[in-house]
Amino acid sequence: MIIPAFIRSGGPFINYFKHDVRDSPLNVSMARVLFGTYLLWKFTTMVPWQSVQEWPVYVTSYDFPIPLWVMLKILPVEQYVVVAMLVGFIVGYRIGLCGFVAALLIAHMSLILHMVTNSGTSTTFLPPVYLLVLFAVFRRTDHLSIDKFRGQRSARLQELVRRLKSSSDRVYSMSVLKWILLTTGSFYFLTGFHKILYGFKWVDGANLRRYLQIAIVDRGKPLPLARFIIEQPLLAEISAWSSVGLEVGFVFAILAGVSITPLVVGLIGFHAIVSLAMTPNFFDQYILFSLFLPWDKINKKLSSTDKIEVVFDEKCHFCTRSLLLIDILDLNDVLSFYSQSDLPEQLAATELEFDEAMYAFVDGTPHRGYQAFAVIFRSFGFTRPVAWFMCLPGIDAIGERLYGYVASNRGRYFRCEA
Amino acid sequence: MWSEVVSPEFLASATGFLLFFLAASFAVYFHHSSQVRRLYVVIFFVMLLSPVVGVSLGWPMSSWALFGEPAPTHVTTYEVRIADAGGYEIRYDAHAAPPVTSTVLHQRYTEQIVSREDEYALRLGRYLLERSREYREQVEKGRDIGRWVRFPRHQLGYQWNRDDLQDIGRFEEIRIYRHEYTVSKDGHQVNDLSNRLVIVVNESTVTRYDEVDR
Repeated sequence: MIIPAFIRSGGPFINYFKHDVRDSPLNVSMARVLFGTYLLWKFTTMVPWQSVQEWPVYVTSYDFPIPLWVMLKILPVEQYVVVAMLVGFIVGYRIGLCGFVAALLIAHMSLILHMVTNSGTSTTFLPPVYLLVLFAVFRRTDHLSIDKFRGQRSARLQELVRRLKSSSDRVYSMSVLKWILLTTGSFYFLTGFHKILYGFKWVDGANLRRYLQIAIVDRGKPLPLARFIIEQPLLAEISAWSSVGLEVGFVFAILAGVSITPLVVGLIGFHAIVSLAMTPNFFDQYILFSLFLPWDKINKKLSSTDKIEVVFDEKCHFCTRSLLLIDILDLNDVLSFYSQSDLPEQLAATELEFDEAMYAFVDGTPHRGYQAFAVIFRSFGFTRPVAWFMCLPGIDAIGERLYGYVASNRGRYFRCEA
Repeated sequence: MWSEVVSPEFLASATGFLLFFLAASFAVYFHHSSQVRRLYVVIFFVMLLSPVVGVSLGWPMSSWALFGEPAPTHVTTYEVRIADAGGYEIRYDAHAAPPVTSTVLHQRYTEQIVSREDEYALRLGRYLLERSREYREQVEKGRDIGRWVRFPRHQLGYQWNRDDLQDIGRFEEIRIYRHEYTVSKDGHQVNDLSNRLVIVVNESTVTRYDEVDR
């Protein structure tokens, strides 16, 4: 019965065109962090930018308003700016500015790269450019970010405390993921569309076999999978038809609001076969598809269901805003927030100094300050590694001191009425 | 006069780039307005899907036409090989000259070398020789720890190992071969027509063995 239920739910990949709201904002923030980290990795390690600068001749002509020598000169500076912008983007600091500047510079740098390579190496930098801008334009829907934390500076403390203590039944917009999904569908549609332009000449197993033969002759390495497909006429026919079907069908599935999982799984398999049979590698696509996984449900499944009672200082603006961010991860609703004014009897009886530090109670056992945060982080699937790190010998000692310092000086550095 | 200086390609490229980033900057700045966000989405998708109606807006837009054309039956392809002073040769490993991939090096650049002036061939040839010597040292020492953390290349191409390099001396020249063959219409048969050395490039000279393509 598990499989039919799984199919009924549409499978793991979410069609945000069908539902562009969810009861948790986690998927948007998770997508930003995943995408930003992937892009930082790709940008810093895939292309040695210095060799782009030193490359002696080009394979395409240069058509751009700024002189080439100027663009080559600023290339090394751009690298560092992009890295700084991507780090800001990942942690959610000034997502608009960081996303836009990173997109602009990556577009420019990949334009120069295109003159050197004129291939997929440079064009694989274009989807990230579009996605960075989409994240920047729809940044209001990203709730787990430094921007959101900073944006609540002017909010009234009573209102923040009320929000933290009330159980939320809000829905959150996923519009950025909806447009990212349609952008992804559009790439595939365009590749399929160009094949359809050639009609049945392309959608033909013989055409695919010829492509595979050319790959075997040209690539300089053995391609056993290509040979296998050539020798199986039916397989070649199915592969040719299904590649066009998957490419064009994906966008129609998105727009029709039906499950995209079969098409995503098909496209993942298609990319893997193309890599093994013909050598072009579309690693980026695997990461792009992961943005449409239900990260909120995964976190919920990985999180504990044991209740934690958190007592915080209701006079501290900074503390309340921090806990509002943490509350986003609480998908099992295990956290109950209390402050000095509404302490339950059993917690009040502990006579602990709730003005001095935050407390987390698990089965009646109090955890103070830094350890309280560690207990909360251990409770959520995605932050469990952070909790393990926090409890490492040496790290915990530093953390305790840091927490103590921040707690006793919070009025000096942050907006706090304590 | 202007049309001579400012080519249609130049205009298309500059227009696409400026239009995209002007629309993006406007939408990023006025992101709080749902109308602006909607307008940006419309502009973006019109630009992205413009190849459907045959419009090419230039970078950062692309046609996304991958393997769009039907595969040919008569194929002319090139191969870059690297040789020592004794004439012993081996296929050039594109990993030696990043960021180009195997197909770009062996196909696109060789087409340029064949059709353009000697200066182009000489500059590229010297660069490839220099890079291959450095890369060879790395392969022989087996010291490329970075490969475990690098983002995967766009092509899983041919790669040298220590055994490949054992019998070859110092790299001295780049050799380009032109390979002509036919693939039967049903894709089952490959028939070689010719495989000829067309150009040799060393540190100071370019020797062409076939003038047909110039």
